[in-house]
Amino acid sequence: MTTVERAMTTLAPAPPRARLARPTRTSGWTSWFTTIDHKKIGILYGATALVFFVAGGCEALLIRLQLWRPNGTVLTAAMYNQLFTMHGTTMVFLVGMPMAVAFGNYLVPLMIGARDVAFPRINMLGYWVFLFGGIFLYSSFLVGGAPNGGWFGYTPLTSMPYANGFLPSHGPDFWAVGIIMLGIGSVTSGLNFVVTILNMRAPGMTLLRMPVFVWMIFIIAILTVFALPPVTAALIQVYMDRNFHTHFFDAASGGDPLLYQHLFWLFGHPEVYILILPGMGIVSEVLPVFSRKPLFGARVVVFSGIAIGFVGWGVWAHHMLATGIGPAATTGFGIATMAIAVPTGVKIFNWLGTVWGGAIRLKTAMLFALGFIAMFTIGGLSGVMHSIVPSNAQQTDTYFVVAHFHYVLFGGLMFAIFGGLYYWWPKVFGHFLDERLGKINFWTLFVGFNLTFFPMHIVGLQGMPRRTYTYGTGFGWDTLNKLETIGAFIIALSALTLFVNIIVSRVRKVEASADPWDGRTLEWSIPSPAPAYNFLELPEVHAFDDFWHRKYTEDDEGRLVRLPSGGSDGGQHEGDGSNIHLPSPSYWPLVLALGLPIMGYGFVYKNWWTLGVGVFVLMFGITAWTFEPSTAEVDH
Amino acid sequence: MSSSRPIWRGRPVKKVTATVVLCVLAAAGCGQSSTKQQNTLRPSGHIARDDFHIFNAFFWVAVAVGVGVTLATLFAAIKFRSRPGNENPVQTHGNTVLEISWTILPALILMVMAVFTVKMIWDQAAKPKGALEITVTGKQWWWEFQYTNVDSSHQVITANELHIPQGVPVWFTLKSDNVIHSFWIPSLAGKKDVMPGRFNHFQLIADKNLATDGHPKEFFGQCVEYCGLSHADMRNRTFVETKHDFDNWYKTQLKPWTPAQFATFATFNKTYQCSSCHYIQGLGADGKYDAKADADVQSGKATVINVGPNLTHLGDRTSFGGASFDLTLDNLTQWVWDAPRHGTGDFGKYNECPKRGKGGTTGVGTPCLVGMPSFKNDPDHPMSKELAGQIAQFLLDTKTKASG
Amino acid sequence: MSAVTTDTAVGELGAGADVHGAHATNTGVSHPKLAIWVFLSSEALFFGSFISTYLIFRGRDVAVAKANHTTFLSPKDLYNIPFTSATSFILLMSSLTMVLALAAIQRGDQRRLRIWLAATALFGLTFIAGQVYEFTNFYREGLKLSSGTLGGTFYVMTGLHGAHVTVGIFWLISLWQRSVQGKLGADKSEAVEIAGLYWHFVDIVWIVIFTVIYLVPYK
Repeated sequence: MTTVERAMTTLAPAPPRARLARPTRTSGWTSWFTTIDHKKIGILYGATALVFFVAGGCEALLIRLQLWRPNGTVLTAAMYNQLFTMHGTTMVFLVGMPMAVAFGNYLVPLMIGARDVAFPRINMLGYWVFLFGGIFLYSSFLVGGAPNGGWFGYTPLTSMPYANGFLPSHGPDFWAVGIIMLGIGSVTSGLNFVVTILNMRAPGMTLLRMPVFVWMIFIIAILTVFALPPVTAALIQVYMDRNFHTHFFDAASGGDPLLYQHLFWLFGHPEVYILILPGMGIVSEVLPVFSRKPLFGARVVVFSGIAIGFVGWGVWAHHMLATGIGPAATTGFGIATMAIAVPTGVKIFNWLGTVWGGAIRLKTAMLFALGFIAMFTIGGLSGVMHSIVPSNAQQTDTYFVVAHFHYVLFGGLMFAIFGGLYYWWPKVFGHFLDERLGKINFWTLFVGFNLTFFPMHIVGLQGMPRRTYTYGTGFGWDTLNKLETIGAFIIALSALTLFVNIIVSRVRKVEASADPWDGRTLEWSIPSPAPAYNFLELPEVHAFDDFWHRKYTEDDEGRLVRLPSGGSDGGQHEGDGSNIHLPSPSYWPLVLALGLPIMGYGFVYKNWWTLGVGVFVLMFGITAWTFEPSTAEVDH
Repeated sequence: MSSSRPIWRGRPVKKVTATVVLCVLAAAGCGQSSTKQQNTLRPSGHIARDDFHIFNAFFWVAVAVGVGVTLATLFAAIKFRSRPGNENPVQTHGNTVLEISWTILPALILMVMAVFTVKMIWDQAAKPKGALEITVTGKQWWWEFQYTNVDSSHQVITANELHIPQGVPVWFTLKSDNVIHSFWIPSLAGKKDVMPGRFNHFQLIADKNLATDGHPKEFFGQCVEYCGLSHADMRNRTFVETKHDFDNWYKTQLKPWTPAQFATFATFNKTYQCSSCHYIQGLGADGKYDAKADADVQSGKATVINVGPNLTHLGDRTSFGGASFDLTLDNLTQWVWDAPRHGTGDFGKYNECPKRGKGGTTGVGTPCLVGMPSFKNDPDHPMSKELAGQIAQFLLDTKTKASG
Repeated sequence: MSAVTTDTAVGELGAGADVHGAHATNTGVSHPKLAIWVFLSSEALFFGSFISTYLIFRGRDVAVAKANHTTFLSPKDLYNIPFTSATSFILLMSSLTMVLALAAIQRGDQRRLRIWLAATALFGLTFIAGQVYEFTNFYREGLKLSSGTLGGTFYVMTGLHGAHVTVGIFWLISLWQRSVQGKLGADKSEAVEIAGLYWHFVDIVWIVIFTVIYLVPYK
C-alpha cells in the first residue's frame, strides 16, 4: 500500500489551483494556443495543412526539375530519394488527412446542429499532435537526412539496422516514429468525430437526414480508428528491427518482409478512402447548391459511400499483386477491387444526375466540383485497369500508377478541397474569395494538372518506373517529362493564385451574408462568420436539406417555389448568445502534445534522458488536464 | 478484333488497334524516336502481348466512360446554365430505374472483365513445359543471372545482361539476399517482385522471329521496386537470340581465362582485392586457375562471391554498373578509378557510396560496401588514372574472340 | 510507448471536464462511454496485429536454426508456466476487484471504493512485477530481443501489454486520489465504469496472449 501511496504522491499531486485555472481569453493571437472551439481548430488544421501543402509542392517541383531532362543533375540520388519520400508522406499525412479534419472540424457540428464536438480538448490535442508530428518529421532535414524509404517504407529496406547501412541515416526512424505520432492525432480526431456524429445531432437530425458530407466524415472517422492500429504495430516493428535488432522483417532469421506489406496496406488502402471520401462529401454539398437541385439519389450516394468503406477493407493486397502472393490471392483481390468500382461509379452518375436539368451557376466552387467529377472519373478508370491483374503486372510501380493516384488524390481530393475553400470561405471568414482570381485559380490548376499528370500515364506504359531519380536517353520519355515539368510549374502558379486571392480578398473584404449561395444545410442558417456558440437555439430538423425546405417548396410539377416566409433562420440572428455556456480554453492539450515530439527524439536517437523528459512533460500534461477545473466550477 | 478468337490469346492484335492506342497515348511522344525498347505498348513476347491485349480491351471501355462522363459534365454545365426564368428547375430527387441500371451495367462489364482476368492469371502462373530456367538474384544494385537447366553441370553465372533464345519459354526464379527488388522487361513480360526469403517465379516467351544469326534483338528493363540509393541505376538488358547464337554465347561464358590473364589480374588483385567482391571463374587461392573449384561452381555445388558481378566475361557485355553505362574504355576507366565521383556525367550517380577507409572500418565485407569504392581515394594505395585505364583495358580484353 | 498516450488521453474522458453527463445524447450512451468502446475496438486491432505477427512467425526460427545448424533456445525450457499462470490469475482477479469497486461507488460506499481500487491497482502491480521478473530471467537465460523471431515477438507484444497495464494502474491511482479528495461521488460512477472497461479489456487481451504464447506449443 505504501508503494502505491508514494507513487501516487509523486505522480498525481494536486497542483495548486491558481496555476491550473483555465485560460479565459477567446480572442487575440494567444487564444489560438488555448482554444478548444472546433471552428478555430478547424481553421488551424486548414492553415497548417496549406503550409505543408506548399512544402510538399516545393518538393514536387524539385523532383520535376530533376526529371526535366535525361540524366538530370539538379539533385543527387540521395536528395531525390528524400524528396519523393517526404512529398508522399507530406501530401498523405500532413495535407490530405488534416484537410479532411479541417473541413470536418469546422462543419460537422454546424451541419448536425451542435454547439461543439464531443471532446473539445481532445480535439485540440489532435491538432497539436498533428502540428508537432509534422514539424518533427521535417526537422529530420536539418539533422542529417529526411526519411528516404518511400511513403510506404517497405521493409527490409527501411527496417535493416541503422549500422547495416541500407538507408544510412536516421530518416527511417524519424519516419516510423513520426507516423506513429501522427496516427495518434488521427485516432483522437477519428474518435471525436464518431462520438460527435453519433451523439450530438440536433433534434430530428436522424442519421439519414445528415448531410452527405457528414456521412463521409463519419465513415472516414471509423476507417481511421480501425486502420491506424495495424500500421502502428508495423511501424513499432520497423523501429524495433532498426534499433533493437529484432527480426520481424529479416527473412534470414525467420522474419517476413511481406508481413509488413500486409499490415501497411491493411491501413494503406482504407487510407486511400480516408483521403477521397471527404472530397466526395464536399462535392456532394457543392453540386446541389449551385444546381439548385437536391443531390440525386442522396441515399444511394450515402450507401455507396458505406459500401466503399466496407469493401475498402477487402482489397488491401491489390497493392501487392506483383509480390508473388499467388494466383488464388491475386484473383480474389483483383475481383474485389473491380467490385469497388461499382459503388464508385454509382456516385459519379448520381452527381451527373444532380447537375442534369439544374440551374447551374458556374461559381469557382462549382467549377472545382465539376472538375472533380471529370478528373476523378479518369483516376477511377485507371484504377480499374490495375484490378486487371495481368495489366497490373505491367503498370504497377511505373508512372502509370503515379498518374492514377494523382488523378484520384489531386484531381479528386485537392480539387474538392479547393472548391470547398471557395464555397465555405464566406461562412468561415465572413467575406468572399474573389471570383475572378478564383476562375484563374481553377483554369490554371485544371490545365497544369492535366499537363503534369496525363503524360505520366503514357511514360508509365512506355516503361518508366516511379521513384527513379534519373532516366537515360533513347527511351522516348524526354518530351513527355518536359511537359510534366511545365505542368507542375503551372500548378505552382495556380496555388500561388489561391494565396494571392486569400490576401486580396482579405484586404477587399466583400462581406457575405449568412446565406450567400442559397445553401441547403444548417451552417447557412447562422450568421457569417459563424459565432462562437454556433446556434442561438439548437435547430429542430424535419428533413434532409432542412434549411432548404424552410426556404422552398415544390409545386405539383416538381418545380421550385420560394416560400413566402423565405428563409426564416429559426431565430438564429437575434441575441448575442452571451447566455450560452461554452467550455473554457485550456493550456494542457498543448503541453501534453509537446511531450510527444520530445519522446520522439528520444526514441530516434535512443537517448533515454530525452525520452524521460518527454514522458515527464506528457505525464505533467495529463495530470494537469485531469485536475483542471471544469468550466462549470469557475463560472457558476 | 475478330470475334472468333478470344482477345487474350497472344496472337498479333490488329495492327490498326495497336497503332491507334499508341498514337492516342503517345500523342506527345510521337515523332520522338525511342531507340531503346522498354515499352509495354510494343510487346514482343507472348506474356507482354497478353497483358497488352487485356489492357487494350478495357482501355476502350475506359475511353468510352471517361469521354462520356466528361462530355456529359461539359454539356450539363453549358446547357443547364442558370438563366433568367430558369432559376427554379424541376426538383428530381432520384430515379430507381436509373440507379439500378447504373449499378448493374458497370457490374456486368466488370464481370466480363473478371472472367478474362482470372483465366489469364492462372494461365500465366503455370510453369510452361520445356522452359529454360534462370535464377535471378537481385543485388544492390545489379542483377545476377544463373542458367540452371541448360546444362546442369555447366551453369553460367552472369550479370545484368540476359541472353535468351527466341520462341522458347523462360521460367525465372527470383530471389534476393538484401531488400525487395522487382524484375521487369516491359516488352517481354509483366514484372514480378524479388522478395528476400521467398522464391517468386514468372515466365516469358520472346517472339519467334525477332532475331537472325548474328543479330540479336535488344530489350531494356530495370528494377521497379524502390531498393535504395541507386535504384534508378539498377537496369538490365536482354538479348533475344537465335538458338544458334544463344548456344554459342553459352559456351563462351563457360571458358576460363588464360594463364596469362590470370597472371596479369594477380598484379591488380594484390593491391585492390577485386576478387573479394567479384567472382572470377576458377580463380584459385594461388591466383591461378583451379579446375576443381570451377567445376564445383558450374555444377552448382559451390556458391560464388557475389558482392559485385562476375567479371570473367565482362568484355562480352555491352554495359556495366547495373547496365546503366555503356561499356567503353573511357567509361570503364572512370568507373574503376573513381566510381563514386560526384557531378561528372553519369558517374554522379554513386555519389554517396561509402569510402574505403583505413583499418577496415568500411573495408571489404562490411555491409556498407554497396557499389564500387573510389580507388582514386584509397587511403593506402591511391590508384593512378593510368592504372585504372590498364585495368579497364584488361577487362575489355576478356571479350571472346569471334569464333563463328 | 506512444500507444500509451492515446490510452491516457482517452482515459481522461472518464474524469475530465469535457464530460457533460447530464446532456442527453442521441444514442443514449454518454460520450465517454461511447468513445471508450470505439477506442477499445481500435486497441483490439492493435493487439490483434501483434498476435497475428506472433502466430505467423511461430516456429519459423526453429526452422532457421535447423537449417543453419545452430542451437535454438526452446521456449519449452524457458517458460515457467506455473509462475506465469499464477501472475495471470492475479491479473484476472483484479477484474473481479474492479467490478467490486464499481459496485461500491454505485452504492455510494467511498471506503470500499477506495479499498477495491487500491486492490485492483495492487494486483496489477503484482502482475507487472511478475513480468519484470520473468523478462529478467529470460534475458539472463539467453532470450534476447535479437533472438530469432521469438525474441522480438515475445518481448514487444508482452511488453506493450505490460505498458497498457501500467497505464491502467496510473489511471486507478488517479481515481483513488479523486475519491480521497471527495471528487468522485456516486454521480461520477461512470468514471470508474470506464476505467473498468479499459481494465477488463487489458485482462481479456492477456488471456489471449497467455494462451497463444504459453499454452500453444511453439512447434
